[in-house]
Amino acid sequence: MKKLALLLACMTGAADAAVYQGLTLEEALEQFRADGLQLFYSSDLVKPWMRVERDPVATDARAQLAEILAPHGISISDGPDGSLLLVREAQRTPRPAAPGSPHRPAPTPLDVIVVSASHYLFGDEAPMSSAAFSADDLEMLPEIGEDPLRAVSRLPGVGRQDFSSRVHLRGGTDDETLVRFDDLRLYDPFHFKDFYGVFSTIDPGIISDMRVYTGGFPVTFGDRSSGVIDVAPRLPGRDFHGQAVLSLFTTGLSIDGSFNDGAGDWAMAARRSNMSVFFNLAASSFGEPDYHDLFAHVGRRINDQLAISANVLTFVDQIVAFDADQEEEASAEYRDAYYWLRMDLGTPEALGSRLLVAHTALDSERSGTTELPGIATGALQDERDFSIDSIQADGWWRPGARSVLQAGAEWRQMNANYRYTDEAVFELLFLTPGAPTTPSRSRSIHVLPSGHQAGAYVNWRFEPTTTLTTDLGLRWDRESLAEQDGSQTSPRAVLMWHPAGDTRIRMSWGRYFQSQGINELQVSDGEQSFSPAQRATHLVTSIEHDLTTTLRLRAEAYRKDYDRPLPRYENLMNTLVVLPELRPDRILIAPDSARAEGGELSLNYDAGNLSGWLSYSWSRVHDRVDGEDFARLWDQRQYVSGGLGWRNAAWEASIAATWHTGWRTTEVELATLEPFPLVTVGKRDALHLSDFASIDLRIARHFDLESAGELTAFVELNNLMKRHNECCVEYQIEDQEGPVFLDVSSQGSLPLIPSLGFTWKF
Amino acid sequence: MVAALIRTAGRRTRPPEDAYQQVLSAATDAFRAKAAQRRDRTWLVWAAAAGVAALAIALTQQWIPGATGPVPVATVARVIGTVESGTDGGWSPMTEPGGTLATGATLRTLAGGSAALVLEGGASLRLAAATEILLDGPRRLSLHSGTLYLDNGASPGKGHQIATPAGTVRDVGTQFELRVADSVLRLRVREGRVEIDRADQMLSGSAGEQLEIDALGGVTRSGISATDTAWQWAETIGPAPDIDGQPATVLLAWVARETGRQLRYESAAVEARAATVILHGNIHGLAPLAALEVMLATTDLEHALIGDTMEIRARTEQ
Repeated sequence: MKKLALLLACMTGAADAAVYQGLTLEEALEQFRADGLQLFYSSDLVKPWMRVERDPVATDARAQLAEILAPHGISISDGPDGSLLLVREAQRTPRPAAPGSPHRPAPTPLDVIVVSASHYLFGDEAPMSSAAFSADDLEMLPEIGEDPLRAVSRLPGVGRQDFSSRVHLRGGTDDETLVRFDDLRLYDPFHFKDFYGVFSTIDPGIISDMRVYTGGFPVTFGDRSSGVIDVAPRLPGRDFHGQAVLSLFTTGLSIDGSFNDGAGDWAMAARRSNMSVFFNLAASSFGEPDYHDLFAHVGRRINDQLAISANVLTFVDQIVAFDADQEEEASAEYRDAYYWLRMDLGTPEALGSRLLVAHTALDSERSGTTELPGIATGALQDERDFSIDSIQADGWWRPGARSVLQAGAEWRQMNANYRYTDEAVFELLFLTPGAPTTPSRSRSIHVLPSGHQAGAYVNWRFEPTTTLTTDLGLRWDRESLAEQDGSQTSPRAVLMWHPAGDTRIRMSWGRYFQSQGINELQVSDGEQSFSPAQRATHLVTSIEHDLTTTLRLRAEAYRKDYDRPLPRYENLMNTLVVLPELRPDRILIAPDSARAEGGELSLNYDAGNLSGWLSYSWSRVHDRVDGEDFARLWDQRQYVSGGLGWRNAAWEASIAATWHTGWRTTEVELATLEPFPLVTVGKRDALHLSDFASIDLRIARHFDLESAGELTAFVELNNLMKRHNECCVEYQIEDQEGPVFLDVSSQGSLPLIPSLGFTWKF
Repeated sequence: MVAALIRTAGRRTRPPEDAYQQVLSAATDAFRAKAAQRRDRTWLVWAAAAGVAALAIALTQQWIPGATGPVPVATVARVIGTVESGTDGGWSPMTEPGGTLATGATLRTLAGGSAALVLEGGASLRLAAATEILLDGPRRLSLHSGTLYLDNGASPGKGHQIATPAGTVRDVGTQFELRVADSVLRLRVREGRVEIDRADQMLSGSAGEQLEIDALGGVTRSGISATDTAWQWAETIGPAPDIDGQPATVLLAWVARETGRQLRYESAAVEARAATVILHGNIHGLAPLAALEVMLATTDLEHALIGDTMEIRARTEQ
């Protein structure tokens, strides 16, 4: 009898558990209404193409509804007599004119469904497709200098040296990643560009969310071969808001508000580094790095179809750097300024567009000397000025609930002024292709390149059935900097299939061209002309399965084939030097082709207060030169990353761990001292340094200041276990005792880096 | 077996073609003559029946006084508190909307009660507390005591006639309130024009006017705004439209009319947008401004009440 009662109870439960997954949102809402819930909603928020992504786990009807609505940016508000109102979730003033999408900057209908494989979203919008971390997780991650771009390296398939914020996406070089802010392209957006790019120029205080494509990205993004980091600015609120940050690395203030009864908005953010203070306090001999950021925005909605904004983003860096032995010294100053006007027209639900008119000015000066006994002596003067005027238009049209057409075009006029002088005397030469072949060198280069770059694309997203979505796009690019014909056509296609409600399968194929940018001419390595664009062909397959409502599994395999990769210059041994161009191990690498391939497995858990991830990837990337394969320096054969985050009202804590196969290095040996010291070189990047591992921790405590806002105190510890991770190798001629030999020793990566700070939100 | 028989008999022998055509022509003429004769007889039968029916209807309708029976003239749309309908020598409570009232029906609201009726033709009649009426016939009623509100916006072409102890009131496509208390007749006109026919005089009230006629026939005139709070009782009891699946403009037009406000849109684009936003929910039981508040919260539109104007704007913040 008890068994029968239990069986009946189970059956009742099963009957009660309505299946919403796969229904349109409107169908699900009508089902709730039919069950007696009094709801009020409108077609402004509930669109015909919105679907219930997964069945809710809650048992209470209101909580179920909240779960279903959350991914669509809709929340619940109490109405009269126990009724519920479906209202828009966002609290911020819309920049775009479209009333239909005020919570998203730069609205495009493609935000509705993310088809692309290899897509991740960090930010305050619930992920549609797949995400490694939520917005709060991003904030919680223990990253040095609170740098949001460093968080990207937590994703599978992303490699990054500890010192740098630049990332290698699936084996690509670190300049193959397109970084956009407010849809505007940023050029090498890193502080201390010639000094490893220690931090990105993206102030976390001005970010709304960050989309990361590690491959297979849509045709809207062009001219980069590996991936995209698309950063959306935080939109101002209607009331005055602010945030002040003080940490060992930065001091920053951001404020925003609105005017004219919310029709206009403004924002301003300024940040400066505290690194020079920190270095002085630590009596460091590494120099005095210093940087400043400024972001300003003012926007005005003219009517509900048109909004205009003017924006400024500037960075200024100053650095005086030394190596550990004070044998190299360099000073540099960088000034990057972006000015852009933006117009948003129409609505994301039907017909709309955006237009960006921008002026970019990038100036830098660098000088330095090197005195490395037995290796090299020399000096360089480097001055570069770039001016880029651009206009960019993107439009979309939704002819029906299951179809979206997109088209866009961009044009850039670019001018540059390179002045470069160096004199170097090498006391050692490396016997390897691409290395200097003469003991002394004197260069003086003054080039004034100019040219234009144009691009256009069309994209058609179509859902032939409710379980199938296709993305078919064609992109055309042309640039005039290189002497050869610079016209390229890039077809791209993505197919997403839902064989079941909790499973998504994606396949992506496409071509991605990348030209040598106006700011990428390696004059310091003797280059005076631009190379033709490289071509990469991506093939990505991905399967994503929701194991439970809180646990998601994702497996992805990719292959990226390069044709005519752009030539690049690398230091064979030590990549972390102050003046890499004045080293004799500086080599030119000009492959005929290259290939990156790998597989990634990741598990993401998100249960509100507790979240975590675990990912593993296997990958291989090599260049092919004269029929022989050479691994790239950043070839990261195996990679494991995991982390946990926990929070309650007052506390939050997160821990992240990373392990990967050691960085690549090359075997060298002193061949002879007479008539000139020569070093024989083994197969390039054939060896591994020791494996890399790091555990990073962040703990924060929130204090409610009531009407004064909220104060957060945080402590971060990077490389908590003080592990000696090898980053590279240094070499010197040792002649103090006994026979002369080439002393090669590994260099350590970052030691334990502590940081603490305060954030006040008001 | 029949099929087998037919098959066994084989095809019939065809007649000569000229003989066939001759017979066919003669048969056709004969048929046509007979059919015409039958049509004439049928028309006469129908005409006679229609005449008899018309006479019967006339006899049973008001064309012949004294022969009129109960005719449905109103439907109960909403009831709040205690509302009673007259029965033979007494009153019985009315709790549910939806009932039909015929000519001769009496209705009264007690203290705290109110009711809304939809009159034949679509006009909305609302009764405040402590009111008693008699439905005399289509577009005719008597207000014995208390306060009523009539919105004849749905069929402005035909007026209503309301008999009161102080005179007969006729509206000319309007919204107005009528009160009979302590031998005083008070008329408040929100929209349009209303005429009062007293035995010895004809009075007229226009939008924004209030008339008080005392027992001795003295008339006092004063002003009243269409958005005055005095109209709130009528707004509260007024039946809400079914807006589920309807564009927002349906709701906005109703709220504007119910609250006596002019509807204005921030721009033509906002007006076009309001026409395309589809609302879902049930606002029955909500006062107009409460319904507006609730529904617009689910859209990207917002409203502002500026004097006697209700302006609809694109939402600037959620």
